[in-house]
This record gives sequence, structure tokens and C-alpha cells, in this order.
Amino acid sequence: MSSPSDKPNLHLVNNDDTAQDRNDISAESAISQPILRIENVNRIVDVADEPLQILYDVCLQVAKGETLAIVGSSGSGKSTLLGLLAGLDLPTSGSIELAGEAISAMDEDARAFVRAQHVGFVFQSFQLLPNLTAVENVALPLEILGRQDAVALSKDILDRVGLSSRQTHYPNQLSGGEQQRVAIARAFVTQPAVLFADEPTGNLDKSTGDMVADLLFELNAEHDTTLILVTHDNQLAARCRRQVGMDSGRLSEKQAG
Amino acid sequence: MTLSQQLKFAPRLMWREWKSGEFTVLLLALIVAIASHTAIGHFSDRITRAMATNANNLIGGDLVFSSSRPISEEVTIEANRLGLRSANTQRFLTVASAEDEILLVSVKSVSAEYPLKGHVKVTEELFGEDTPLTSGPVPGNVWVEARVLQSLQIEIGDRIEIGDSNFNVSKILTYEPDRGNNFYSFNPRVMIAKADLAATNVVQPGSRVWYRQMFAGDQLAVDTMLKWLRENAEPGQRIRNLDEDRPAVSQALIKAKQYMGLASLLALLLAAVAIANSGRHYSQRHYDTSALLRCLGALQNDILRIYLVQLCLLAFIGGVLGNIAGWAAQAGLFLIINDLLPNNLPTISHTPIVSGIILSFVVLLGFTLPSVLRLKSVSPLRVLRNDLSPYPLSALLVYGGSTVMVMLLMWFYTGSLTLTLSILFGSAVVIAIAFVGIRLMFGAIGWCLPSFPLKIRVGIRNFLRRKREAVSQAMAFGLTIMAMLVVVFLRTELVTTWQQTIPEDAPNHFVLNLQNDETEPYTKFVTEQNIRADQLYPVIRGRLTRVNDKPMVEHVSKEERRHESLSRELNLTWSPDLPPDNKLLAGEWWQGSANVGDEVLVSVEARLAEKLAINLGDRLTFFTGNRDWKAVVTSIRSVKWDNFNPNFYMVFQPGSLVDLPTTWINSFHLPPEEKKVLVQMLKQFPAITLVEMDTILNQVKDIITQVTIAIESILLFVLLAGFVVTLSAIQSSMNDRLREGALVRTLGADRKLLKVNQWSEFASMGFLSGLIGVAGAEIIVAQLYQRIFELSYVPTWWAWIIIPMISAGLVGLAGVYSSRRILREPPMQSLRTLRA
Repeated sequence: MSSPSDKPNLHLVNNDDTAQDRNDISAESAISQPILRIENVNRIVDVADEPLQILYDVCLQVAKGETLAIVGSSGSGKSTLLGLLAGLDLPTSGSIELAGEAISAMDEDARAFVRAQHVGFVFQSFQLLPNLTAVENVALPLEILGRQDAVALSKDILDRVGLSSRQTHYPNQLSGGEQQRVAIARAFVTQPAVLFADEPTGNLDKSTGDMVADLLFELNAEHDTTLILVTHDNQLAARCRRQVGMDSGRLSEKQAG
Repeated sequence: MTLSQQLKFAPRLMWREWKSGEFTVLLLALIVAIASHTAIGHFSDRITRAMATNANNLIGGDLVFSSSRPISEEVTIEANRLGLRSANTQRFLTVASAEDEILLVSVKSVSAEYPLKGHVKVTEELFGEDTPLTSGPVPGNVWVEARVLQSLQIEIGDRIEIGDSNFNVSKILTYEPDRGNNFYSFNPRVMIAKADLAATNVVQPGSRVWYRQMFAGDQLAVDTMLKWLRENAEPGQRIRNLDEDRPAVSQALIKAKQYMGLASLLALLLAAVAIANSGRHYSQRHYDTSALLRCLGALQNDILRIYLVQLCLLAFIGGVLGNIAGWAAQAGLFLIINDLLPNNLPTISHTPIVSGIILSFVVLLGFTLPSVLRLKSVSPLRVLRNDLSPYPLSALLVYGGSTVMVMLLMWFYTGSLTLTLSILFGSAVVIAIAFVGIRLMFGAIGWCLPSFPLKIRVGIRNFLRRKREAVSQAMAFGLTIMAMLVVVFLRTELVTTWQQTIPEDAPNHFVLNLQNDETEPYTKFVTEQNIRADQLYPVIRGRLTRVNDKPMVEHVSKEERRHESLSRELNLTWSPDLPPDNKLLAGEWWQGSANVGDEVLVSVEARLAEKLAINLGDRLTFFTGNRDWKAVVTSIRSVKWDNFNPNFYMVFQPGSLVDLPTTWINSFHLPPEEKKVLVQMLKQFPAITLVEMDTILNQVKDIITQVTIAIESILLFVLLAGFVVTLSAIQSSMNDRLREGALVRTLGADRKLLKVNQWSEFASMGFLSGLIGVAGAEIIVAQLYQRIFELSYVPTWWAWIIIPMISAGLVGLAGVYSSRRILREPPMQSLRTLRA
């Protein structure tokens, strides 16, 4: 197992007000309260009994309300990074702090608690439950939080994403674009602090993808949510105020497009 | 999530999934399981109780207590305390007279409650049609057997004297429910009311009277009474129940109960297969849901509790619906066979209902929990990487757990550890053989593949390709077929055995007390009248007094000193050959007759020999009339007591007992329409005792018919359960097939080709399952025959060819039927549905 620790990755720091300070490690202090902070994260998995390093010494800080795109080709490790950022998986080494909580030191149930409180998701494959209607799918995270007003809130937000007439439809009765809009509604309904989106337009044609992206960014602006987006679509990435590139497990800051 | 939130959320989630049909297969499997359990439970429970009632009618009560001394008041008090109904009879020998004729009769005085169970049958015309009555004669009247009329030369309406009383002969007695089998010593019966007994002045202190008290009531009270009687009985007092009095009937009942237990058990095993199958499918379909819920913040225990609550709800719903379906099924069944059943059919009891509900929980949780536990450990990362499946649980935990569960269930269910272990052992052997066999066959089929027609090659290759799935499905079908075959094989064997117990032409009349000089004219008479009479047996009465010159009291163990064979004279016979249905267990049978002065040789019945500690070569001393005589034991033989032929404890060599007083006994079958010939027989041989057994025989035959119907109906249930299980198993693998079918069609395959493919795939699986099923059934049935039913086993060779072919056809049909969606639905729709 070789870790290129002799060649530390860039400590990526962002401050929207001082874009020119990117790549400046000292600028870290300028972020008063980062919503997400990861330091020296490595991820190694065993493939056919051989260790395979997927992430190398990744460091990253994301401020509250920021929109960040993680761009990279297939297999570059960007989805693995997303899984770690969202607390779905644990790093082999390094630390991850989400909304002030050190999730890399937590067990799965504690991380689930953090997710329920602070995190929303949008996936490439929508991940709607086939046996639940649109409104029931949207209500799911609220019900996990034990909210009494789950259905009413879900209907409101479905209204907001333009699907008020499809509330009782099952996923297989909806088009791809509609399914992703339901997923976006589900992601925002809990008003999460951070929204993770994994190739949100990857399964959609261009015009539908654009509409979905519009919606995502509109809602993001409305709710002042921190958006972390994984994509290989440069055009979508360019809509984020900040972009980082992922290449063979190493992260690098990019110029905003 | 708090517990109350989970309790609310789980049913809500379940209801949503329910609407979309997610639970249909699992629920259907559960309903079928519980329905067949409760239907069989109700059915066998009611039939068994009805049969027991009818059979108890044969001994005149649920429990009979007899004594040579008046039965103490305490017995009656205890019976009253327990809420039992009771009746009593007093039996003694005395002389009845009419004008100049006198006759030694057996008088039976009966209390007003007599008979507690069953009917007394009487007629007003000699050998005419009889009618059943539920009480004895009213005071002042007597009912008499036909031969009393013959011997005293009187008719109905004439008067007879017994002791100091004078009675009106009002009816001819043809049947007493409590008469029993021991008719050799019968003197003709005269029945009077108990109220008349004292006035006859026949019963005096020291008179030899047999007192009987019969009890009837609910089972618990009867059992308590039985226990009380056992504790309080004095020497010379006897407790009788069905087993002792009617071996043929009780044997049929015992075997029927065993069979029904077995059928229920196999229905349960089928259910387990179906539920485990559907449970695994249910669990797999929820990996994504669990991952998503985890991703959205649900804790591991939230997931576990949510699914546990769902399973419990499902178990409850399945239990209730299964119970309703089971109740309806048994009600329908009783409606169909209504004519064949007694009118006093008991109502359903709570036991099957409660056990059905409990079973629903036990089976569903027991067989799905291993799969559902995996849901807890689904990684939330699965939302990003669909290939992440939860770690498999240890095979030992899953299979070991299931095996222990099945064993406990079976044990609880059958109450027989032997039966349970036999089936488990059989199943284990079958699974092992099947596993190796399937692998070998896969190899063989793969090797032969090029020689199959091109058209069916794809289907067979499909079957081979899904190796893991195919092995488990072929095993599931195989076990289903095995269960059904076991039930079919056993049913055939049991029914045949029973029907052979009492053949159509079983002797139903017995002639006793034929004198030496009457044997020739009697033989001539029966030949002329075309009566199919059996062999004439000589009867010599003698009491066994010593073994190897040691008095019986000293020779036998303490417990056997009161053995009934020692308290009375035995009926002894001689025969040149081993009587039919007897089997020589030890020693040798004699050749030819004995000469004067030879040692007297005797063959002893095996059970008696064991009880009285008699061995080969022992010298037995008998007492007949006024002298002792001796015999040497040369063989021990078994006797089939329930064959309704004359049977003897002791058989001697011909020619050795010629100088002892001898009468003869004969039995024959007479159809009811020819009974008038008996009048003639009694006229020609007035001294004989004629015993009619046809009523008892008919009753036994009725019982056997009922049992047979019960068994055949239960077979139907098991077959039905098996078929639904098959369907559900196919349906649970349907998604993959749908996806693949749609894909193949998209790539240009036509429907005909797909159909041939489906046929060949399912038929190969069916054929393989058929082979597994036959092999398993043969192993298990062989075990059961030897260990439980004590029957000899012959392999059913035809099944090895026929069953795999039928199975190939049926599984093929069921598979193609269930897969019709693949052909019907546009491929685009299938792909889209499955993607979502």
C-alpha cells in the first residue's frame, strides 16, 4: 500500500467573497463556520484481496450556502467522495466534519441521525420507492423525522416543483424528468442544510436535464441550502459558484466557469 | 424515530406497498398455509371426535367400569361431581321359563339412562328389519334374543318367568351397543328394566353378578374420571375403554390420527417452503428501500422494527384470513360429504383457530426473519452503488435455525419425536442427495445439450445458467412433490390395509355349541343352502392351572396374576394346519395327527405366552371337567385378533384331545337378504347358539368408510397447497424472467420461440424436481412404514417414471401460465416497470 503522503493534495479553501484567494491554505481562517470540513481523507478498499486506493489525502472545506461541483470522469472517485461527505461511508483515514459534527468518528446510526437532521439527496437513478406514490415518496424523510405535517408539506413542495396533478402517481407512471422532480422535492422538503446531488441530470435528455437543473438551483437559492453536486457534465458544473476536479482520487481546485 | 413513530410509520408504509401488490405473494403463501392447517385441523378434529363418539357408542359410553361386586356409591358421587352422565347394568345367569320349557339365560337389567351412547336395536319379527332405540324395556316387559323364542317355543306377546316375577315379552333384541366380542360363553340374552330387578329375588348375597357402570361426558371429565377410577379400583374391578374392546376400530382410528397428523405436518412443510421463498424475495425487494431509508436518516433498529411490525401485521392478517378460508374450506367439505357423516357431528373447536394464528406468527417470523435481519445491515451506500448487497448471514444460523424451527414445530404438531426425526432424517438425506444429484444432472444435461433440438436448447441453457436459483427452485418443487407423494403413497396403503381388515365377505354369523354328532348334518345343511361357511373348529373348555407343575399364581409376575385368561376357562381347539392369519414366531408346527399315548402338543399365542411367561418346551397343565391333563409347548404364534374369524389362544395337535368333551364352532358370511335361512337352521339344530355379528361389522365398516373419506379429502388439501406453493415459487422469480424476456423480445425473438424456451426451461426443472420428489418420498415412506405403521415396504417403481413426467408437465404449465405476462406485455412496458 503506497500513500503519496510526500505529495500532499491541495488544501482547497473557498471564500465566495475572495475568489482570488483560492488555493491559499492560509485563507482557511477566513471561513468562519464551514458546513463541511474534511481533512486528509484516504479511502482504500480491497478488490480481489488487493488493496486499492480510491482517494488520496483529500482536504476540502465548504461554506454554508455555497454551491460546489465535483467534476471528474467515470471511476475518478467522485461518487466515493460524495458517499463519504454525506456520511454514507467511512474513510480509511482522515476526518470529516458535517454541520459541526465529526461524522468520521461516528457509528452508522449516529451518522444516520446527522443525515436525517441536516442532509438531503438527489440521485442519478432517482431512487424513488416504486410502491409509493409521488407524495408518499416526498413525505418519507419527514416521516422518518416523525413530523405530523408530512403529507401537507409534501403536497406544498410538489406544487412548487409543478407536479400538483401527479401527486398520487406511482414512479412508473411518471417520466424521467418528473421522477427527478419528485426526488428534488423529497430532497428539499426537510429543508436540509446540505444537499448532495449525484449526477442529477445523468439519466435525462438535454432539455429535461436543463429544466431539472433549473429547478434544483432555484430551490437551492430559495432555501439557502449548501449544494454539493457530483457530475461529469461541465455545463452543469459551471452553474455552481465553485468547482473542484477529481482525477484518480486526487482533488484539485478549478476556475469557476 | 421513537417506537410510537415506528408503530405508526410501519403500517403506513405497509399499506402503501400493499396497494401496489407487493405483499400479495407472501400473503397468499401464508393464507394457503394457515388455511390448509386450519382446514385440516378442523376437519380431522371434528371427524376424529365424531369417530370417537361413534366408536364409543360401541362400548355404550366413553368409559366403562365393571366389577364382580356392587359398585360403591362413591363412584357415582365422583361421576356426578364431574358432571358425567352415567348408566348401570347388572348381568347374571339364571333360568327363564315359559310353561314347560326352561332355558339358562343371561339376564341384563338396565337403568333408565341406558344406553348412554349408541342404540339398542330391536325388532318385532324374527330376523326382520330392526329399529334403533335409545332406552331399554319399560318395567314389566322383557326384550329377548331370537334364540330365546326358539328355545322356549314362545312368540312376541307371550309371558316368561324369571325368579319370582312374570314378564311380557315385548320385543326381539338384535343388538346391544355394549355387548363386546367375547361371545363364546354367551347364553341367550334377556333384557329387563333395573326397576324390576329386586322383585325377581334372583340376586341374593353370594350370587354371581357382573356390575357395570358406564360414563359419558366431555373429554376432560372423562379423563379425570379414568384417573380417579385407576386410583380407586379394587382387585377384580376393571376399567374398559375403546382400545381394549374394539381392536379393529381403535387401530383404524389410531392410524387415521397418525395419518392426519402427517398430512397436516406436510402441509406445514409446504407452507414453510413457500414462506421462506417468498420471505427471501420480500427481503431482497426491500434492499433498496432499506438503503434509502438509511440514507434519509433511519437507524438500523428503526429499519428492523419497521419490518418486524410489518411482519407481525402480516402474520396477523394471514392468520385471520387463513382461518376464515380454512373454516370455509372445511365447512364446504362437510357439506359435500354430509350424507356419509353421522348427524351428531361436533362443532368446531378453538384449538385449530388459536393454533392457526400462532402458527401464522411462528412460521412467518421463523422463516423470514433470517432474510429480514439482513435488511438491517443494508449499507446506505447502496443508493450510490446498487451492487452492494448486505453481508450474508452465516449459513449455519439460517439453515440451522430453520431446521430447529421445523423440528420444534413438527414435534409440537405431531407429538411424536420418532415421526419428526424420521421426516427430518428423510428430508436431510433427500436434500443431500438432491444437491449432489442436481449438480450431477446439470453436468449431464450440459454435456448432452448439443444433441437437443436447437429450439429447446435455449430454454434448457437458461435453466442451467441460473444454476443457484435453479437448484433452490428445483429443491423447493422437489420437496413439494415429495410431500404430496408421501401423502398419496400412505393413503393408498392405509386404505387398502383397512379394507382388507374387514373384507366384504367377512364372517358375520357365528354358530356355537354344535355337538359332535351334529357336525355332519350341519355341514350338509350349509352346503345345501349355499352358505359360504368357514372351517369347523372344535372347542374344548379348559382352565390353565400350572406351568411346569408350578401353580399359575406362583409362576406369573404379580401384575399378571389377575390376567383374564387365568380367571376363566379358555377355549381350546385343535387344527392340523396353522390357522389363516396366524404366523409362526418360534418352534415348529406339527405334522399329521397324534396317536394314542403320544405327548399332547400345543401352540400358544405370542402375547399370552409373554404375559404368562410361557416358553417353548414348557409343560402346561389344564383342568377340564374333573381332571387335569398336560401338554408341551412346541410353538409360539401371533394371531390377528381383529380379523373377525374364530381365534384361539391355544391350538393343539389333532387327535390328542379326543377323549375330552368337545363342541364345535363355525362362522359364515350371510348377506342381509338371506337371513331368513337362519330360522330354518335353528329349527334343524335347536341346541346351537347363533350369534349375529353383522350389525357390529357394519358399524365398523361405516367407521372405516368415514376415515377413508377424511383421508382422501385431506389429500386434496395437500395437493392444493402444493400447487399454490409451486405457483408462488415461480412468481417470486418472475422479475428476472420478465426483464430477460422483454430484452430478448426487443432483440427480435418472436413469441413462439419464447414460448418454446419457457416450456423447455420449466419442464426441465419440473422433471428434475419430480425425480427429487420420488427419491425423497421413497426414503421417507420406507422409514414411516417400518417405524410408525409397522408395515412392510415395497418401492413404487412406476413412480420413478410417471412422476417426473407429470411434474415436468405441471411445472411447465404453471411456469408458462405465470410467465404469460412476458409474452403479453409490450417489452417497453416491462423494461420500464422493472426499472422503476
